[in-house]
Amino acid sequence: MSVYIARRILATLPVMAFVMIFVFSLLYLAPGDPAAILAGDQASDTEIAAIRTQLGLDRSFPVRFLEWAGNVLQGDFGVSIFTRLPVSTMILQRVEPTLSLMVVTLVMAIGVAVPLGVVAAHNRGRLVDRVVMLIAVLGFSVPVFVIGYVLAYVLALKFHLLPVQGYTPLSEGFWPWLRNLLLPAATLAGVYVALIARITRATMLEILSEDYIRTARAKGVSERIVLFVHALRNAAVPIVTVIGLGIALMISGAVVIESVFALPGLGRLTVDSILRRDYPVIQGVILIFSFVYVLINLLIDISYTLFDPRIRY
Amino acid sequence: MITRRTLLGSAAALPMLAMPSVLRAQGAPGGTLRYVPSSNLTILDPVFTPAAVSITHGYCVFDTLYGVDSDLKPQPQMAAGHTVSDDGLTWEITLRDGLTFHDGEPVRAQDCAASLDRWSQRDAFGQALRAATEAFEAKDDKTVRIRLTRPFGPLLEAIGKPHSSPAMIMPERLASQPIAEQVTEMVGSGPFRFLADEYVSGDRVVYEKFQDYVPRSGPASWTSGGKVVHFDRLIWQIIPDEATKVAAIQAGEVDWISTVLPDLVPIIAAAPGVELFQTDPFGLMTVMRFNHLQPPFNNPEIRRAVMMAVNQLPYLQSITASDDERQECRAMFPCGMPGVEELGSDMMSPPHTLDEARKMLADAGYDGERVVILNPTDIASIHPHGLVTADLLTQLGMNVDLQDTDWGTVVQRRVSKEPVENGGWSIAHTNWPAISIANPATNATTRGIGQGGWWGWFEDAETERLVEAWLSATDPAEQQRLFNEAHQRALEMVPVVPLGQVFRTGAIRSDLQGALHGSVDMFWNVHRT
Repeated sequence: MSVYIARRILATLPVMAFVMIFVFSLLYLAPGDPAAILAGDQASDTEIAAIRTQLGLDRSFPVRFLEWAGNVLQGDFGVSIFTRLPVSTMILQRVEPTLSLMVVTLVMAIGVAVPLGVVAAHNRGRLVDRVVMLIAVLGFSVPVFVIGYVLAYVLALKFHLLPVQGYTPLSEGFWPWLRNLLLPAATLAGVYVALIARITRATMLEILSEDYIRTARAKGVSERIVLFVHALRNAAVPIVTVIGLGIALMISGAVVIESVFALPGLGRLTVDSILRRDYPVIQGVILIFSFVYVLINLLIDISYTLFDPRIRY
Repeated sequence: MITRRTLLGSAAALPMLAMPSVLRAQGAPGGTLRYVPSSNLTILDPVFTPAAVSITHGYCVFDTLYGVDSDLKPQPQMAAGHTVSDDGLTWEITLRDGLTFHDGEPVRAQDCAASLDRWSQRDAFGQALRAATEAFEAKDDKTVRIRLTRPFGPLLEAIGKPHSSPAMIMPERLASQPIAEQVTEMVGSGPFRFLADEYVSGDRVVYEKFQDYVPRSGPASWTSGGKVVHFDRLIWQIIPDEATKVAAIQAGEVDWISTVLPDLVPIIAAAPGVELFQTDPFGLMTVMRFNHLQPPFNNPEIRRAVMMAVNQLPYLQSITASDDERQECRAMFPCGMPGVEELGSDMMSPPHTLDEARKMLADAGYDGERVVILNPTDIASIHPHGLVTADLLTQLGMNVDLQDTDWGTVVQRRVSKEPVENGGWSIAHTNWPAISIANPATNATTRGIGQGGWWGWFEDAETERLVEAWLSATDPAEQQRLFNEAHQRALEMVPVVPLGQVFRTGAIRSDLQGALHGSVDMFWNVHRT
């Protein structure tokens, strides 16, 4: 196992190198000049040119890439063109809200979706099954920002149960932290409830028709044990895969949710930086996201062995 | 044991628990003022950038030698007063007592001279002053001396300008930085201290009251007068989503929203506990800018034909919610500003017909050249203008190519001097705070500097001659005559087509009194009742 993990980690290096070259090239070729944005509407060509020189934007592609890549390898992501803050500081400031949103969303989604999927499979074709599938279709079909606005209107403005926006760090207490996250997480969880419930149902249906399930039932094992211990454990591999991919997809969902609920997370930082053409920040964030993608895939692979002992590396 | 009664009781208390802490904290004198700016604060140096949000921040942290009152008349702010030599070439400004920077150092004339020197390299009005200046210097610690090479009538208006890179005073060590480099250390002598360790760009900006600030006596008026702060802390909360901003002030989570999207104004108008206000009494002037280097708009007759065909109303209606938010203004300078007369009425008012404009285009030799309109889809106050212009020019029979893109790309593309076939452009739209383009020297849209000037590169020696004459004039009647001549010249040459003025609406909680709204929001004088 450890050899496998080491091999997988080593395999990420060329992937990350490719990502670095790709991201840098893409930004180099993309239209949009940060110096012109920075200088503002009144600026003359001369002033813009002076700012470009000061920021080093007038240097050639290879020079800029080698300098940037060399710094990144030493853990230095550079300085934001606009705020002049270190990119690593800006990213660190934004990690906690995004991570918090993802954790609360996942807990909500898994906590609701897996039991729903199991119950739907157990009641295949009945009303319960149809209702669960309807929820799944709705969760997939309605855009997250629409769900967000509706929830905010009802829970925040109408009944004053939750705040409309903002983020409170966990260091200021669990409840203040959670209170700010409930609305955005519930909004984002809708999609994942739909996704995970459908996969759980489909996988469970397949497993429930297996011989060993029939044997367990014939031996008089209770239906709850059959469903949640015998069947669910064997259905876990595809469910975990979907959850893992869901975490990766959640990053794009977070971009919308963080804007709607004013959470200062990485998603918003990415969008703001792209609109401003703040190259060092965009590059830093994309590298971090790529690393997270790779890491999640690795963790999914490792988790398979926990659920299915037959899997060996 | 949990009974039905206790459960119901707990449920009733839930809204209290869930109530934002800001609400529970309200009511105490001092306390916190929560403000939502119109956009994120990314550039802290208010001299480096003309962005409104950076200027608003700048007025918290920094002070100016002169400010302006609500009539836009310069008034001493950090200055106790000034003297001018008989030949008008030497100005001496004395600092008032008690001025201290946030790091505890006293404000000296050396700091002011260095600040003026840096500012005069960046700002258009400053550059005009610099061209007439031999030296910004300190006569002694308390006296700033400006030695001129020729008289400069509007000197106080220049160093006291309230918007777009005002001449804010910072310590000499910061003001000595090159102008192409931003100042990031926020040490000023203004009424608020910037708390760098609490600043998260894109989320929040935090200030605390500067206890050692000595306000002038007398009432506050725009950027002049007694800047008395009534809150211990000022927190800017960045909320990117317009609907969320409105929901946040309705819920009492924030106190003050800088601007409300026109579509959402009716929601606020109906909300209890929140009031609407007009942000800047002079508003924004919105313009259509031509690329003067490339055909067809390198031909002034074609520019005149387009200006004659423009009806301002559809432009204004496309970005405003009601008549209160718009004003037609057929002038190259913003209506309502000192000295501005609406001289373009004859050239732009109906009853001109599109047939007349088509004939003018044909007479001017328009030959079907492609007209590329750069149109940012992510700027709600500009995007509709591209659509209106495209429709108008199509009706005039022009070969229109409307190119929708994001603002970042527009900003880059519009500095291209290439022909449209090589990625160039013909028309772009933008908005200017009226106060930033109020006179012949500061109005970048009408200046004729050519390739070294504002994008679009209008070049006209006669315009520049009139600007210089206006700057040197010291007699008010002569100044007005030259102002009108410069204005008339702009109407003849059409460097831009004026599309009217727009007045933004902001929102504030009803329990706040004394808030000052000018070209930027100001956080002194305001208090909670």
